[in-house]
Amino acid sequence: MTEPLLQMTGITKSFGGVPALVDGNLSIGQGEVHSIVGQNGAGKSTLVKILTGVYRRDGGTVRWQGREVDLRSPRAAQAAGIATIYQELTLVPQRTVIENIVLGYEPLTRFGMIDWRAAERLTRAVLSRFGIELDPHRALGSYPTAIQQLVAIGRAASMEAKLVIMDEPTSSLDEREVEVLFGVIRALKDAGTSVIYISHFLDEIFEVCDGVTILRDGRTVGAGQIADLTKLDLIAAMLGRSAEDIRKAGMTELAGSARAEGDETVLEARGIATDRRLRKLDLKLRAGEIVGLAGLLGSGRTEAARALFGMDRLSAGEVRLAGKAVLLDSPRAAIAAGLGFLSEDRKTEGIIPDLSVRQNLTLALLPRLTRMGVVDEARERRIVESFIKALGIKTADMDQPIRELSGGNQQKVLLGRWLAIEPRLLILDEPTRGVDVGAKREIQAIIRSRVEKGCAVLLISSEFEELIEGAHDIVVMQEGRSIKRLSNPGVTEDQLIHAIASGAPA
Amino acid sequence: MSRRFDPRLTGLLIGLSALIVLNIAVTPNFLNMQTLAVNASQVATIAIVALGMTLVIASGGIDLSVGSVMAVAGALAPIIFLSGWALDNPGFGLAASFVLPLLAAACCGLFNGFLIAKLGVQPIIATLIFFISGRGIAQVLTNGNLQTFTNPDFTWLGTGRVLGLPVQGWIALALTLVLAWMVRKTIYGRYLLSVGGNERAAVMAGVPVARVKIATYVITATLAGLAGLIVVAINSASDAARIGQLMELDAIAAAVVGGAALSGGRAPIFGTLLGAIFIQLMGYTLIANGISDEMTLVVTAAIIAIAVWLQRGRRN
Amino acid sequence: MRKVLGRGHFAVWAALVVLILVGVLRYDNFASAYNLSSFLGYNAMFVVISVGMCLVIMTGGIDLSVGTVAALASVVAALLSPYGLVVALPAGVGAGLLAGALNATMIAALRLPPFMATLATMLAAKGIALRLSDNRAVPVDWTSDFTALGMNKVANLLPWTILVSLVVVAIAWVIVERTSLGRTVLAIGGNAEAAHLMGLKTRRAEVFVYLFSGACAGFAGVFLASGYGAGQPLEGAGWELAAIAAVVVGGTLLTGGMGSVTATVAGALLFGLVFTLLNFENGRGTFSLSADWQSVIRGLFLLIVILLQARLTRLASKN
Repeated sequence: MTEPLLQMTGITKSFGGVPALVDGNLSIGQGEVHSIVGQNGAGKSTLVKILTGVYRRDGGTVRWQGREVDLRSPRAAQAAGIATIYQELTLVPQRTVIENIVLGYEPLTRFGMIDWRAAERLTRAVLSRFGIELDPHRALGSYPTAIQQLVAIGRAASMEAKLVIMDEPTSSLDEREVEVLFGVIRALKDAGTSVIYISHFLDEIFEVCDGVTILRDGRTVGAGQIADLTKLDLIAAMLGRSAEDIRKAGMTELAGSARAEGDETVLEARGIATDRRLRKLDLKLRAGEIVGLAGLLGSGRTEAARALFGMDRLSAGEVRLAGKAVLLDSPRAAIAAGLGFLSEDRKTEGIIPDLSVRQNLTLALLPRLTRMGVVDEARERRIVESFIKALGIKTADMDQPIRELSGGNQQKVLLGRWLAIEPRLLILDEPTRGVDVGAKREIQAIIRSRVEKGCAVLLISSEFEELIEGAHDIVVMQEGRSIKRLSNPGVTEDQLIHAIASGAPA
Repeated sequence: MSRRFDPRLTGLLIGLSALIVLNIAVTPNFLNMQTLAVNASQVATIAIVALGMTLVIASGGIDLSVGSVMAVAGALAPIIFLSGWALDNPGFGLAASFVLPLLAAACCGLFNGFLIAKLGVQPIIATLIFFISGRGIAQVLTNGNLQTFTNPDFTWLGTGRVLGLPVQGWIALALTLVLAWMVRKTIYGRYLLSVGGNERAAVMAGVPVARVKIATYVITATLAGLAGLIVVAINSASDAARIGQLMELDAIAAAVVGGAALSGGRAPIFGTLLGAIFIQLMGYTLIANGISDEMTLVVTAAIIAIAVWLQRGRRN
Repeated sequence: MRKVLGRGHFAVWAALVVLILVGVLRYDNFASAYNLSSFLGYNAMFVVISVGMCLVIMTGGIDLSVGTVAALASVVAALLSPYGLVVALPAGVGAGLLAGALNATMIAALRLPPFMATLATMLAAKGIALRLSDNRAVPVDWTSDFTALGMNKVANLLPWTILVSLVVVAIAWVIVERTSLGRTVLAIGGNAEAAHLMGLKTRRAEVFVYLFSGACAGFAGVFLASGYGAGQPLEGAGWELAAIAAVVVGGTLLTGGMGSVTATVAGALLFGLVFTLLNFENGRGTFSLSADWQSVIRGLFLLIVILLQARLTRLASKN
């Protein structure tokens, strides 16, 4: 057997003492389309970024074309023949399509000037190979994301890379565009180019990939040929769900809250849509009820939360609070109406890093703590004190800057920010992501106790057990629409997985 | 109750103390009331403008128009108290010559804030408009003439002494205390720091970001207006072409040396006062010891670069 | 042609042409050789620093030091003017390059924010200029050929300074439009993270733009000393903001990633033209707007451009 194109062995990497990769292994053959799967935080991105020279590995070896290499920068990786299309588009939207294809590798004339004619020829050749028709002189940003994505792939292909890495390339593509992309991937494969294809859409992986590597908690826990596996095998391996003891340890603290029957409706959304990939959502939440929102990445769960919280304008449908139609056109209005929203993105939409625990915790409550513009600090301190105790926030004191706290404790402070306003409805987007197991259970317990006091909770989670054990009902979303409402008790993991996966492009 | 003391402030205090000790040792007549008064009167206007600049920088912005706004306010005041009406009603006239220029300055700030918060224009560009045209407006108001006057009531603002210290020194000190209180104790201060610290998170937490930004530019412009009045009062003359020239740079320098970061989210009010004093005293030290005036600029440049570099290190 | 004038920068050229037409039709001596050459001679300095600023802004940076660096260069050139143009010109430009190197070190190596780094250089350059000149204007040596650059004209019409400026503009244009370096400059401003991930040499491009801007300021300083007979340590205050305004009026966004060298030239000329037109209007005597109005009108002008841009970016972001 010949040596594989790429062989990564025992890769380790940690960030500020937190391990992101413990034992990453990856092997890819010539002309192979290979997928890396795993949950959020399993280490996929880290592994890829080590390969592409963005991060330096702490340990392990990388063999490329039979030789041990150390790729120190994105430029070095590209020079070696590894091209990457990142999940967040890394092109320059202000510049033209031609420039984005040739940037850094511009064809030159004899006088060392850029040969724009040659660049245009090259661009047209690449685009026509993929069957994309557009004006290459226009700014890339003027085209839809899908086109930009294909241009990024075109750039990779034009560099005659030996390995093309695609990180969630289809998250913004429609079905027809996905077909175009698959055509491109097969063309690359036929030309002997290898592809790493990372996607949350398992159907796509089964359609286009040859091999797969499974990561969990920073380790490679399995690898094999797609043909030998079923979708459920893959999911089981990703979740580490096969063994009974894991099942027990993973029991969430959300379980067991009784549904408050017949209570009043807190919020009802009727066919709401936004310009931001929310197509049609119907939702009803009663006091004392946890409704889960399930779906794959890109199914519109976060977009649903943003719409309800007044961050995106509704293009259709209406929201009713306690039976009355309301227009929530800003988070401020939503908060005034009794809503709270714990964003999944703690860093960019949650903490104010330089402010203290106290100041972060009371930010949403502040208007109610203020008289004549002056904050009643004594009362503020009492409230913060009680939350630090109730939520078990580990902090030196309430005046410590929040950036110095661990992720789990930051999350508790942010949860406290919303609990403090005594919301009628709390929207939680991945409330336990990126926090350690202990903090996770504590956070879940806090949520449950609030629900028992009559708060309604809309819970967005990628963790099936959190949804199945915690939510009274689960609304399943797909492509921006709510397609099904499953009622607990009685929802099983298989049922949920099938509901989420059904109807996805086969 | 633990109130965290900013370590940068400690560093600045140590630097300032060292400078004072050095001066006591080498500068003749340093420890004398006159020296203190001279330095206090020179640093006061810079400090007042720098306080406002600190707020703007804390919001994640910058205000280049402060010097021009000073010129507008400074040009207006003599026009008002030299008018026939004011001469007939000296009491009202004096009051109006304080209030109206400050209102005009506030309007400049409102305009800046509107462009930035409502239209999303970058602060550098938005405030560049007044930087360019504000001084022109002031010159048009005065026909480009130097206005000289004798009005002891008005000039008291710049030349009066209270307890041996110039009035404007007391004003700067009082404003420092008031703004420090505002930043720490009021909802505006809290909102200001959250807008500058993480604007998206602030929006999500219900902070009225646009209102906070507009208020900040209004406060800054009003403080600049006050500084303009003081400059006019000191000179008993108003020269629209010169009032507040290059003030934006002095103010930014004081704020940054005092610990403000251009990325926003921190409003070290006391630090700004100390930063202004530090720069002033450094200049005084060099000049008093026969080192040429212009080298203070080079030293100031080095201080700014070092201050920013130290901050960068902390921010990782 | 479209490419040379800068794509999508039609408006600024149209405004320039309209103002020129107004001037020609309304005032008798507007189209005279004397007026043209003094206009171009004076604005050569602004054209050249605006072009340097344009490249810096394309990367999303800013250079506040250009005004005082120009003043410093004028002093250096004036001091060395007895040795003739061959020494004084390179020395002045070299002083600018040195300041640019200081900026580049602080920004590309120490990662200081451009605003603060160039602010420090601005102060330092002023201090050094005052020191070298002993706080006075430095008269140039009229017996050497130094003043030829600023005072002589080709065919009695085009000052040499504007020709040198146009060469600098042409070089900047070629670099931006035709070289990999220039494309990297634009890519950094468009998306610095992406530029790095695309494997571009981003540090090199950053160093380049600050050096280039410093050299441009150096040229402006030499023009100043040569054209007005003295090194002026206190001149140049506010030039940096005039240059920024010219760049913005030329359609370059301060966020970087876009822009046109040639449209920046149009922006700089447009600002100069407002001033010249006002002078002529006053000379005509039908109504008199004092020179004080010129900055008010420039400010209004900038406001209009900014409002238009804000509208355009809003429309663009909606798509």
